[in-house]
Formats: sequence, structure tokens, C-alpha cells
Amino acid sequence: MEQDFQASQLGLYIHIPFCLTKCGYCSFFTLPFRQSSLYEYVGYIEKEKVLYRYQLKRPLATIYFGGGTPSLLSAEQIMAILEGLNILPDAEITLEINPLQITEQYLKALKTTPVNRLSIGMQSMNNSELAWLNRHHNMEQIIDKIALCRKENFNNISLDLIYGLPNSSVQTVQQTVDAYLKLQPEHISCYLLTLDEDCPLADEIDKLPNEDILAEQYEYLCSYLKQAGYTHYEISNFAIPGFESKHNLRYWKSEDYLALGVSASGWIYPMRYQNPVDINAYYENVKNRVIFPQKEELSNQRIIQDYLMMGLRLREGINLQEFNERFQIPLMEIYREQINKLIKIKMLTLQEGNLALTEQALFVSNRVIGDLIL
Amino acid sequence: MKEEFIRNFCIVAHIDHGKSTLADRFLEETHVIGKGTEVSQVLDSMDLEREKGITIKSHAVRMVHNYQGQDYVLNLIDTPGHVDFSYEVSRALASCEGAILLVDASQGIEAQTMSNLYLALDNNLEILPVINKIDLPKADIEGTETDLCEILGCLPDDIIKVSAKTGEGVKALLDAVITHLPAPKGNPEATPKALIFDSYFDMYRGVVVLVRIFEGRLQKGDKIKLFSTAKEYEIEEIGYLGLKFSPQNELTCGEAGYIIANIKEVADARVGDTITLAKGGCEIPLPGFREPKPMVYSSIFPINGEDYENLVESIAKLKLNDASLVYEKESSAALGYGFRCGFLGMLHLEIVKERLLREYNLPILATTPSVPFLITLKSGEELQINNPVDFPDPSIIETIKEPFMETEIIVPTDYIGNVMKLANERRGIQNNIQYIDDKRVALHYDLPLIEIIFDFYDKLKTVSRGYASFDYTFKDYREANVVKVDILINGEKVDAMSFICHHDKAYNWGKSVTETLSEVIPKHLFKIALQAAIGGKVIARSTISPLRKDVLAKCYGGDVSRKRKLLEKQKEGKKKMKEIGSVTVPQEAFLSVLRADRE
Ligand SMILES: Nc1nc2c(ncn2[C@@H]2O[C@H](COP(=O)(O)OP(=O)(O)OP(=O)(O)O)[C@@H](O)[C@H]2O)c(=O)[nH]1
Ligand code: SF4
Ligand SMILES: [Mg+2]
Repeated sequence: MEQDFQASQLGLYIHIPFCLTKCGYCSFFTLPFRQSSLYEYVGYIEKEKVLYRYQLKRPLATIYFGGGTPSLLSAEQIMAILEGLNILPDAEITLEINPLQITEQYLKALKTTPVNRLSIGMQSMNNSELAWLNRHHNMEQIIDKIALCRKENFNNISLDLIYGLPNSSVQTVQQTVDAYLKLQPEHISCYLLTLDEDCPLADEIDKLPNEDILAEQYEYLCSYLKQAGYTHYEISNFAIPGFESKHNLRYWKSEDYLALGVSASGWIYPMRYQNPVDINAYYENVKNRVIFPQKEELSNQRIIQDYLMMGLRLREGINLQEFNERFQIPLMEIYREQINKLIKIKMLTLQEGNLALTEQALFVSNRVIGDLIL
Repeated sequence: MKEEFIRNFCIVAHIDHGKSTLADRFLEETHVIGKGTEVSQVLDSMDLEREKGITIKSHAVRMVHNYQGQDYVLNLIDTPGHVDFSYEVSRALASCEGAILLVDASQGIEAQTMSNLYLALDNNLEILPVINKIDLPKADIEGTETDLCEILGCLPDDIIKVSAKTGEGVKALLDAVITHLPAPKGNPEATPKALIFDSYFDMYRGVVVLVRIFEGRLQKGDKIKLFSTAKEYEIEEIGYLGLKFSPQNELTCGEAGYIIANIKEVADARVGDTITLAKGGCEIPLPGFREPKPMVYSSIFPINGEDYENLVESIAKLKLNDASLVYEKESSAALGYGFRCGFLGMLHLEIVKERLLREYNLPILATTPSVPFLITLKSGEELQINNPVDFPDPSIIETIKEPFMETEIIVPTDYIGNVMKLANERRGIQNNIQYIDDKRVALHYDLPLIEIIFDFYDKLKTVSRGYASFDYTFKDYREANVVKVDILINGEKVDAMSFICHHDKAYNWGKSVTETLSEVIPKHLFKIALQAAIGGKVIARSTISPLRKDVLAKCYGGDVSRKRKLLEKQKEGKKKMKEIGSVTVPQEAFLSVLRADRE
């Protein structure tokens, strides 16, 4: 099943943990930004890259700079990181960018790099919501910023949207979406606000809307964006056809991706690994030339479960034929009973050889997928 | 020992009035144990007894006390205080000639003070009234004295005051046991007759039988016969009970002690049974023997199905030591294999559950308790129904009878109203009200047992701010308008949740159960209908709306393991649940049926 190694494509994720401020809802591992720290960090990424030189001979189909705030990287730093990589000509190279850092100068500099997709952490087009989230931009700025991107010829733009805020409603969501649509983004990711116990806004957990209101907002988003011409291709993701995130599709299709940087996790069949969630431990690892830290070789059963868990997030679902070819066993043979149960209660559909979540299953997908595979 | 130098006595009291503590003082005073011994409540040997501070089994101990230059043998029999064990208590009392009636000066006379006193009088015991806890600042010694004089017709001078805690008055009390209580009378040369007042299973010795000899003598090596089973044994060891066994050659009439005779399980040495010689034994047994009669039934299932074999073994072992426990195999569609068990009462049920958990490390689930119903079918056939599952179709039933208890509730006059209201709600029939003094009354009600087993006592405590005390004994079976209520989850009858209750309460109970269930059963991907039904007719319903949100709509990027952990956590939770139809029902659901408010 492994194709010719040299020819088989790879994705690459690069994690930049620094942020200027901490967003209210953030429970990711982040580090306060300092120029010198970032400089040191990029040095380690470059060293880590060398440790994986064997894997990195594979042609890179996608590269994703995620964070944290990867737009803190200068164009030179991005170039330094990408230096020497075997990047396919049509590779998708995404940079997550903080709206505040969108400047003409920076965009121009980015144009000198192969970055060809911007994922913009807008979150909302409602100023009071933005303030509550502790995001330091406002909607008026954003409109200009997007215009700038367009002017600089960035024509694959993704916008993040957060819904489910306290006091939010279908109306407030609609206002934000309308404002988004005016900007004509190629891609929109809609995330449900979740406040973990360790995030700055943890005390506000009780103010979150109840699950009926959340489900309503989600359903509204799905139908509204569909009307506007976006394909709903994954639980949280919408795109103008042809602009689906190729990098994220690798996750959902269980295709190999390498990951660099603190706390990043990667998947190289049949193994997952994760870098330490501690900057010093990460540096220590790189110095000691540790590769694939905390690696775990997965059993075939586990690989199949993960394949379903990730693949069913896609609206197209799992292609039974593809499954059969990949795992040399029919999916129905393993999960017939569970699948039939879930089809009966209209949580799964089996159409044209694809097993997929139904529309009504999307917002309860954890439960449906859990019931199926575990 | 000559009979005139023997005293067999017990202490009767309301729960917690200090029987076991006083027994400790007696043991110290007579040097059976050293003063200030670490362990308190020496006679309560079960962990459960010590921890709960209650006496479950009867115990006996032999003490020697010198009075005016003469050594006397005092056999003290400590008895359980709880009504569930009133038969056992009555047999222990029958082994004595006298009883100390112990009353806590800070509480005064309570329901079991009275019921145990009557039990003692029924057994022709001489009563020695004693007031305990005189050390307590809130002790009302005079008031208690007046009440005791009132109920016993004695004089204040006849009443001895002690503190079982400090030891004050204890020696004087031992003297009084000798001077006030009668010595046993019997004929040492007659055919032997001994009463079994308790028996227990000892891991190393097998069944140890506690006996009181009424006539004749029993010797080591004697071939004996037990009346109720007609089984024969040979006495391997006989002796006195100190803290340890003290083997002797014989026990003669008037004495109390133990016998070990290669008896395999306590059910073969029933409390109340008579021992005599296998050859040439007596013709007529001692009076008062009764088969154990379970009054409360509940089914016990292992929480983990794999534990069933374990449960089989554990229950059998428990039974070795608990003749009152009856059980038979049961299989439930919802809960798998288990046992339908009969208990003497709710405390007995609690004890068995706890022992299974502690001594056998078996997590179990006990279904809603029920009581025996006597049913006559239209065909004339008569049935005793101990399990709602076996309840016949209403259309073929002619009459149903339910057990009624004769109860006594003693309560300060301030709360009479509250208590009467509660008793009425529970279908109580008032017999009379008796004033004990100007502050307290004894209310006598006949109450259906089914109404008592569901938290009646807790409610009573609540409405009387903890002041009411309560006691009951079986009275009779009376015709009852009861129905079986089934609980259905998404149309599937959950056999283990069915219960029997009075017709007028079926709606409220049913509603309360479906509501409680709707709180404890988690939301599913589909709507769940919860119904209470009589026969085919739904009388109450609740619904659990379908789950609306369970989604990971946050960007964890390529961190697949984290996503997976979320799912696994769910799955862990599910493991502890039971699958009924396609609904996963947590264990608490079965318990909440029990706890549902039934008002
Ligand atoms: N202050 C004081 N406390 C006492 C006295 N006698 C007993 N107690 C306390 O009262 C409580 C109950 O005493 P127990 O000896 O366990 O009562 P019991 O009658 O054996 O209880 P059951 O076996 O459950 O019926 C314990 O906390 C004792 O320490 C006393 O004379 N004075
Ligand atoms: S930008 Fe992202 S990583 Fe940084 S604080 Fe905000 S949410 Fe957290
Ligand atoms: Mg006691």
C-alpha cells in the first residue's frame, strides 16, 4: 500500500507558538512574542528540518504555517524555513495571519515567498464581540486589510469565523456572515466557541448559549453559506469549489504529514508522533537529534478507526471502494451492525458507494463517530 | 455452677441508648477485658457493626462478679436493636430470666424502649430499669425517672442510674443484677433441652451455635438432634463464651455457652430451634420457634455481567452465615442474571448489600424493593408474589392482599399533626393515641409495609425534626387495591424497574419515576420516550429530547490523538451503562427509580 516512497507526496506543518497577546478563548500552548525568542526558535526549526531530511526528500504538496501567530515571521524567516525543501510547483502554502499584521509592506514581502494562501484570524465582524474575545482588530480595519490582500494579488483567502458567543443569535451570526460575504473570501472556517477551563475567559463558560441555540446557529451558517455558493465540504469548513484547503484535506484523508515546531504532531504511516508541549524540552530534543518523539506505531485497527474518525468529517464521507483498496477489507465487513443502526436513525447515509454523515448528524458528529468506531 | 449463682440477662433499649457501651463497662468491671481497652463495643465483632455503631448479631459473654463474698456467673446477651431482627431479639430474650431496660436520659423513652420492653415482658423477664448517660449535661434524669415509673409501675428508688461512658454506677448495677434478677430454674437431671439463640459461621470452626440450656445437661461427645431439621450431630466442643472459646466438659441447665458440632451452615442451626439428645431426647421443643419470614424482596444483579459467577459464590457464602437470607436465581432482560432475594427488612437488605460489596468486593445493583402480596386468581388459585415481574395480568385477579404492620410512633406532642399527616398519606389506619407524659405521645397505626419501606422513616424524622422514634411488627394481610406499574424506555418494558403500588399512587409514582429517569439518562441521538404504564395503559410519560450538540468544531489541526481521546472518554462512560433496546442507561437510573419522590 505504500507507494514508491520517493514519489509519494507529503504535507508539512510548521508551528509558530508566539502571540502578541492572549485571546480570551485560547487554551493552546502559546509563548509571549519577543523578537529574540522568535529568532532563536526559527533556528531550531531549521535544525529540526535537517533531522527529517530523509522524509523531506518527498515532494511537498502542502505546507501550513500555523500557530500561535506565524505571521510574526518575516519573509526572510519564512524563506529560511522553506530553504532546500522539495516543494511541488502547484503546492498549497498557507500562512495563518493576524489581521493586524496585514500591511502593504508585509504582503509585498510575502509575495517574494512561495506563500500562496492566507488564513486570516478575523473571527467576527462585530466589534463588541471582537473586544470580548480580546482580539485587537476591528471590522473597519478588516475591510481595508482584505482589500490590500486583493491588491497584492492574494487570491486564495480563508477567513475564520467564531460563532456561539454569549448573547449571540442567528441574527448576529447573519450580520457577521453578510459582512464576510462582501469580502468574497475563497474559504471560510466556522468554529464553535469553546471555553476550556484554562482559558482566560473560563469564568464566562456559564454565559455560553445552550445547545439548541448553538445548533440553530450552526444550521443557519450551513444553509446560508450554501446559498451563497460555498461548498460545505467539512463539518466546519466551506469553500468556493476548487478552493478547499488541500493541507487540511490531508488530515481528513489520513495522508502523511510531517510536523515541525514545539507541540506539533505528525502522521507518517503507520506512526503518529508529537513534539513536546514545552519549549525547553523541544529545544533539548532538537539538540539531541531526537526524531519522531513520543512516537506511537498504530495497529491496523486503530488506523482504520482514525481514518473513519477523520474521514467522516468530510461531507463526501468515506468512499467504500477507496477504503477497500487501502485496507484490503470491506468497511461493511467490520462495522456492518453499527453502520446499519446509525443509518436507521438517519445519522449516516450510504449513497453511491460513499458512507457519510447526514446533515443532522454533523453537529452531533462526535457521538455518531464514537458510536461507530468505538 | 449451681443455678442459684447464675444470672442470664440482657440489655434492652432503643437504638443508640448505650447497650454496647454498657456491655464494655461490664466486661471491664468483671476483668474480662482490661480497663481502657483500645477497641470499644467489644461484642460487636463485625466490621460493619463497629463502623455503623449498630449491633446486628446477638452475642453472649460470661462474666464472674463477686457479691458479698460469693462469685456469681453473669451471662450477658447483647441483642440487635433494629426491628428487622425482632425475632432474633425475642429468642435472645427467651434465653434470659431478666433484662436491664436501659434508657438514655437525654432522649427519654422511645419507640423501641417500649417495644423491647413488651417483648421482654412477653418472655416473662424480670425488668431492671436503668437510666444511662447521666453524665450528659442535657440529661433529664428526673423526667425519665417519672416516665419509667409510669410505664413499669415501679418506684424511683428501684431505678439505677449509670453512665456507661464514665463507668459511674456500673458496679452497683452488677450488684443489682444479682439481687434483683432471678436465677434460672431447671432440672439438671431431666432430658436435655437447649435453645439456640444465635449461630454464626466461623471460618476455622464451622458453625458455632450459641445455646442456653433449660433442662438437663449437654456434654462433649453427646449425639444431639436439632428439632426443626431432625438432623443429628455429635458435639465436638462445648464451653463458655468469654472473649475466646473456653471449652468445658459440659453445660448444665441454667448455663449459656457454645456448641461446635460439625454443622455446615447456619441455616441448619436456626435461631429459636431446640437441641436435645439424638436418642431418648425430649418430645416437645421449647416454644417460639419460627422459620425466617422475609418481608422485603429485591433483586440483586452484578453491575458487571462477568461477576455473576462471583455473585453466585458470594451469596452462597453469605447464606452460610445468614439463615434469614433467602434467594433464588433470576434472569432479567435488562440486567442479565442475578438473584431474587428475600430479607427481614430494609436494614437487612442494606447489610447484605454492604457485605457483598465489602467482604466479597462485588459491585451490585439492587432493584426497587417490594413486599410479598397474596393474590387469589379468579380460578381460585392462590399465589404469593414476591417480584413485580411475576405479577399476574389484572384481568385474571380476584383479590390481592398486602402485609400490614402494627406500628408505634413516639413523638413530642408538638409534632403530632405532622406525623398524623404523614401516616395518612401512607394509608395508615389509626388505632389509638396514648399519652406517655404531658410532652410525648405514642401513636399506634396499622400501616401497609409497602408504604413503610420507601423512606417512611426518613420522612418521619424530617417531619418531627428528628424526634420521632418508630417501631413495627407484622400484623396481618389485608385486601389492597394495588397495581403493577411498568416502566418503558422507548417502548421497551424494563422488567427490573417495574414496581407494585397502591392504585391511587400509581400516577404520582409513575410520573416521578419517568421524570427522574429523564434526568439521569443522558441525551441520545434520537428522542427517548419514558412511560409508566399499568397493563397496556400509559399513565405518565416524559421525554428526553435528542442530543443537539456534540461536535469538535475547533481547530486542533493535525492533532488526531486529541480528537480521539475525546471519543474515548465518552466510550469509558458508556461502559458503566446498561443497554436497553438501543438506549444506554446508566446504573444510577435503576437507583433513581428507588429514590424517586413518591409523594
Ligand atoms: N455521654 C455518654 N455517651 C454514651 C453513654 N453510653 C453510650 N454512649 C454513647 O452513645 C452512643 C450509642 O451507644 P451504643 O453503646 O453503641 O448504643 P447501642 O444501644 O449498643 O446501639 P445499637 O447496638 O445500635 O442498638 C455511642 O456514641 C456511645 O459512645 C453514656 O453513658 N454517656
Ligand atoms: S492567536 Fe491563536 S494561539 Fe494566539 S492567543 Fe489567539 S487563539 Fe491563541
Ligand atoms: Mg450495640
